[in-house]
Amino acid sequence: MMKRISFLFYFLLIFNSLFAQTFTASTDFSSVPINQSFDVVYELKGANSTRFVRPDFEPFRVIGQQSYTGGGMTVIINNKVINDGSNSQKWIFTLLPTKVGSFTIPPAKVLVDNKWIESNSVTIKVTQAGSPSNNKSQASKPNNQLNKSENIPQVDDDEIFLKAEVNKSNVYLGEPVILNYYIYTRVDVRQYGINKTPSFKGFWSENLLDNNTNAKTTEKTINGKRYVVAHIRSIALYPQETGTLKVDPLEVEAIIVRPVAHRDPFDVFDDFFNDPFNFDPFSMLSPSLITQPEKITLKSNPIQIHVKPLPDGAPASFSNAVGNFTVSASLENDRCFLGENIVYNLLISGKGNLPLINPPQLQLPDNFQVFDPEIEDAFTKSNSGISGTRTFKYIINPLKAGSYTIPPIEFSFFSVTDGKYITVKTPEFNIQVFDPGNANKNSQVAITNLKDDIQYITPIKCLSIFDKLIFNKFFAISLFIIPLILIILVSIFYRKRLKILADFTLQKQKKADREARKRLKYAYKFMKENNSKQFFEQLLSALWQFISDKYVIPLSKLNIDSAKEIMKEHNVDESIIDELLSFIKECQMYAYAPTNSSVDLNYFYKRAFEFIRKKI
Amino acid sequence: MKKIILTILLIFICGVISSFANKETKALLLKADSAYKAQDFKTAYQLWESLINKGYITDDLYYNMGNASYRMGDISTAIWFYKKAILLSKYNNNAKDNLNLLVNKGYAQLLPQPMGFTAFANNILTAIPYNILFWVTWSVFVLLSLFIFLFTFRKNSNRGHLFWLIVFSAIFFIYFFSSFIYQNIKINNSKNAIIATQSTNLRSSPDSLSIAIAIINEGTEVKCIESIGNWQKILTPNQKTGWIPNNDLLMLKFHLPQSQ
Repeated sequence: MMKRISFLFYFLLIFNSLFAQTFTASTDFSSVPINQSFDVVYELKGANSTRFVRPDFEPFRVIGQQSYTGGGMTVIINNKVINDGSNSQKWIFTLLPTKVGSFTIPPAKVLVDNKWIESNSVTIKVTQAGSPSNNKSQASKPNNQLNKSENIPQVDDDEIFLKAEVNKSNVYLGEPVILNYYIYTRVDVRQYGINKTPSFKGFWSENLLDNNTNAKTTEKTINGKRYVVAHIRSIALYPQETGTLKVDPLEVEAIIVRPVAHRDPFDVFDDFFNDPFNFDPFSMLSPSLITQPEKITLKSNPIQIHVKPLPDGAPASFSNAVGNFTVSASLENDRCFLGENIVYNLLISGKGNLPLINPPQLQLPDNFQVFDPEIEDAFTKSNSGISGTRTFKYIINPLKAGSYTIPPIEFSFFSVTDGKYITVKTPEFNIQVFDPGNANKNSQVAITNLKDDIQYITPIKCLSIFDKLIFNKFFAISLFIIPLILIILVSIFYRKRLKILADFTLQKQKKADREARKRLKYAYKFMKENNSKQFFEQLLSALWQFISDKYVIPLSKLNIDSAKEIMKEHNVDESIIDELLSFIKECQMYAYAPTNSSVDLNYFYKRAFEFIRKKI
Repeated sequence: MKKIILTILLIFICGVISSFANKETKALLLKADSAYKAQDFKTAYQLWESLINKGYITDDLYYNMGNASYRMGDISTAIWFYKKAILLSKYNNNAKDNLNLLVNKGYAQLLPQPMGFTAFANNILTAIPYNILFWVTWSVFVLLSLFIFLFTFRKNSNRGHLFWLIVFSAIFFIYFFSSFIYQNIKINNSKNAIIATQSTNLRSSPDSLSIAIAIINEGTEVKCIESIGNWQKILTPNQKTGWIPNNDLLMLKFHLPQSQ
């Protein structure tokens, strides 16, 4: 990966600037030792200049010059001009005093809207310098050294150097350290590339800056020298070991373009033709400057970090989390059928060593199968470290239907700001697992189902004979047929008896006529003998017998009254009844009276015979 | 009249006395219960089986035998017993629960329940369990015959109440008797059967050389449509028909689980 930053000198041509224009010259020092270079900055605010006329810097020697437009500088990145900050232009001259004394630099001139604007003049006091500064100024003439040196040219520390910085050097185990690398430069860097990345032994590292974006640049003044600072790398380091850990230096290879102060400032044409940037106005204005690309290797300063172990008394649920976190848990579904899964999401959000957090253990009842959680990360990297969320996705596979509770998960972390362990608990969750077969039945299970088994047997006290009999076909049929036959038999028997009874009366009635005639015959016999008493007795018995037989009434119960009643019942004519009964009374009178021969027996016989023949 | 009532009473009294006096069956039942309790399922099964062989047929006996079969690991026989117990009395909830459990566990697969009017008629006709229904039907039958007998020998003036009694008892008798016949057919001539062998091939024609069109698992309830020789044409729960040898089936129409 090569990174490209070009610092190009150029002017923007913008007319009709309405802002108030100020053009100032300044320097950070009022007095400098001899052979110590310093910067003079000409700054034009609120306007854009088309031309700059530099003053005569005599007796200073110009060893470097830079020009910026915008808030410090204009950068061309991917063929786009990026201007930032206020609308200002700067011309910076690096001067080297050659004489001791107090000197005044005359004002410079800029052309704004076809008007010349002059800056103020600057007075510098040059004091006697020490010997080391003299050496340095010798080294700042790299033309000679470049020819003598090997592949890696030695560059002045002042002009360009790589600096490593950490935000903390005394940290807890697992507490992130932000390591930043900056290129400080006073020269143009055409391009640079990281040659050797340190191995970060004992650390878990995470690059915070995206390699694809361009380095952020700022301006910084160190010891009166202006530097352009490019923030090239930012790495979050998570210590994994305790003790004093060393970070090896980073090596960066860069191609720089260094303005070189020529030994012979009057050799104008030579410089002119050597200059690759023909459009550069400086080369016109200052023909004594030339630029030359150079390949150099920069090495950062080594860094030491002291890692303290975490304090004792870590909770059992501590899983290497250091930082400040919040924990939340949720279920994607709280009910499912057997064969489906329940997804449990544990979301840890906050700032700290998020990528190093181990999944907390999910304690579940026996009837579950839990797979190792899937980890989903959403990190945002910033200059202060990694923040964001890490989600542990537990997939729970129930093995049995029922209602269960997922116990809370404990998550512990070490809070650096508080300096103690903090334990967070997630809420409990209730889940329901249904049997797909009888989903409706189990929709409200109040009891946790462990294992299904059959019901116990029904104790049978005794067996009734009826249970036995009804499955006996013969018995069952006979049970229906027997009553039927019984009823039929009974009804037949009843009917016959009725019939017999009916026959009996008929015969008796038939017999009555015959019996009566028989008795009348006896009476007739007594009539011939003229035995009146016997005659009447026979006559009466014949009549009574006849009534008794005819109306089916026993002789013993028969008298005048009962005879009358029963004859009435049989719908006999009233007059006939009266006639018969009076006749019977007459007969009775003669039968029990003393013998009387004068009675006409024949008459009585004929009347009785008539009654019987008529059948009354 | 008195004689009839007396004979009926006598039969009842004899029955009650004989049922309570049956000490032998009581002892057998106790023995079977304790054997089951002592995990000796085989003995319990045999004791209950001997009672059924004697002709004592109740849903509880079948249910208990089903439990014993389940404990012995004979799932298809257990399903047969539960099915039979439910057939005898649909109010045997234990048997229903156990059968449900077997279905849920995947051991049993039953034929789909009838729907619509068939289900309605089935519910009405099986509302009274068979062993009670028999006696109810019989008593209504006896009453009805008595009423008819009295009706024919009564004079016209006393017939009014009797007529309505006869009408009502006749309606009841028709319901009970049809229910009785329906249940009798279901119990003694059921066409359903349980597959008894582990997995059987359902064949397209009644010979062992024909194409196997499906595999039926043990414990599946099937309906027998017709039989030729040693083969039964059956209908499976998923409405597939095919032929299966008799030996693989436990017919529900028998008093004990057996094939044709």
